[in-house]
Amino acid sequence: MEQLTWGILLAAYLFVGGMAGGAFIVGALADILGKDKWKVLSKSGIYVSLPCIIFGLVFLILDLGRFEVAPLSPLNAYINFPASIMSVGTWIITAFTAVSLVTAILYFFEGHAIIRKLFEVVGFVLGGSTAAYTGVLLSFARGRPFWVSPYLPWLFIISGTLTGLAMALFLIPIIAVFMPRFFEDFKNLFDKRTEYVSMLGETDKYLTILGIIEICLIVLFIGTAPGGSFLMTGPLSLWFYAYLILGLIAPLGIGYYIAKLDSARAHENLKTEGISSSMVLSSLGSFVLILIGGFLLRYVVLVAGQIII
Amino acid sequence: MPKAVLVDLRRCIGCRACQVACKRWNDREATATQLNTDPDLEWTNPRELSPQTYTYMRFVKLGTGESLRWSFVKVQCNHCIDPGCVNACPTTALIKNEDGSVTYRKELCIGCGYCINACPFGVPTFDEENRIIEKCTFCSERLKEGLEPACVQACPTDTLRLMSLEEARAIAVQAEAKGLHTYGLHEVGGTSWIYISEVPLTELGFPEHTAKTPAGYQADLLAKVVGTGVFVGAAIVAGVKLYAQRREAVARAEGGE
Repeated sequence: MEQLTWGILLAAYLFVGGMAGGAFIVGALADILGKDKWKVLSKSGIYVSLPCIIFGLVFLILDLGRFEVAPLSPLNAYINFPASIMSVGTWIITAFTAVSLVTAILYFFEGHAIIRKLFEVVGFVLGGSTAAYTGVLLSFARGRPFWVSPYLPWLFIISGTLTGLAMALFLIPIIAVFMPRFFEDFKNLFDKRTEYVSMLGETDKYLTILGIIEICLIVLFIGTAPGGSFLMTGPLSLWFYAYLILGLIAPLGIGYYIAKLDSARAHENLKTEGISSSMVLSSLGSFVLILIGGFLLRYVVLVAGQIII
Repeated sequence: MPKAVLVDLRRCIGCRACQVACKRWNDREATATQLNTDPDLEWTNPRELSPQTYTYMRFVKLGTGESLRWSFVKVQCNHCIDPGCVNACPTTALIKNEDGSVTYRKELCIGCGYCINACPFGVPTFDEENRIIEKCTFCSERLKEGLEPACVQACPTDTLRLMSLEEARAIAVQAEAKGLHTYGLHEVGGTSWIYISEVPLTELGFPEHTAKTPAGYQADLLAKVVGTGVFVGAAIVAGVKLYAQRREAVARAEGGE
């Protein structure tokens, strides 16, 4: 087996980097297109994108082969711009981190809404570019035919948005329960359980759409990539099926179940308390699975590309 | 003026003098050889490039029985005219020099490993111990002094010949006209090491590549990415519209009831 140049740390970087971009996209869209009821989701998306991209940068730097011997060397990654796609990506990620930070500050301190929305538009583009970059980086690697696919950037963008949305929704109750003093609106939304539950009902549709698109893209990617069958039968197949079944099909199944519960909830004559709890619990479970799936996708694609010759 | 090495595989006797000369000149340590499990490559040792091996010989068996014949192929950095590693390197640690060589500057390197994945020929390797990239240098320090690369000087059969890039390409074009196979004349936009052979190099373990340079290759891929985006975007919009229409129809039907 060939030596792996990029391993688990880089997979983690691709995962959280994509999720950061996706969460910001969700946050920006919820604020710009959504009404007031989406405000908490918007905040959650934008707040979570910042630590995600910072973690991504930490994973990336730790993975660099010369960081231990030359701690300042990572700064050199800006030099070969725009010839090297990695240099382009470094600039994009830096700009995205800055915009994500400013937008989060504007939200937290209730800054001017118009300025915040302007930052959200810029961050939407940079967040999308960050998620896309993680795929383009692999696609441009001519020595790894498995990665050379026009579907890969889109697969990572869709997976980034799916995991970003899941993470943003997942964090609402977590923040509401553990940090209610700093995030009162999160607490208010979660305390009025029906509002959070109705949000879960609505976002369930978006999660389902994203999940279906991701399945289409993974089929197109595996079907057209040289050595695609390796993922289904080779040593990585266990992780690949875990991604497919636990990270995609199971959340879609849960999504269908949630949609059923949501329509049952809409009939007022039914007792909704039990239904609400079931919706919250199954949604949280589904989010965890989506997040695990997002990481497994990056891991199997990354490793497979380096061992398929 | 850019230099080139013409590798005429018809002249190679598989003596490995190039392999040994490279180790001696570049002060590379010996590596433990292993039994090669691939029966067609059993004499190939070492089996791959590594931080201690800038070049090695592939011993390829072609045919069986009476028609069995050997092909000997020297493998090293091909020093692309427009190198994928130089294009990929975010720090300009890898550079293409005027003499045609592709060399490495460790003081700029961040150890990202992108050159390893981006090289079309799988050449750069990472030295875990010294935390640097290692690869054939075209003996650029010898070229500066007007000397041939160590491997070229050691070659007893003139399989390896140092000349100008222009001359090497002209000879390769003539060889193609005679029905011989070349490698590096077209691949990845051309390389500074050009092979001439009686059998296609892809049959000797070399990867198949188009003539696209890194920039052309990337532009092509990006166009496909955008095309895919338009297709996927249209499919999503159509899907969502159909879904919304159906919901409306169902709602209307339910309202009608």
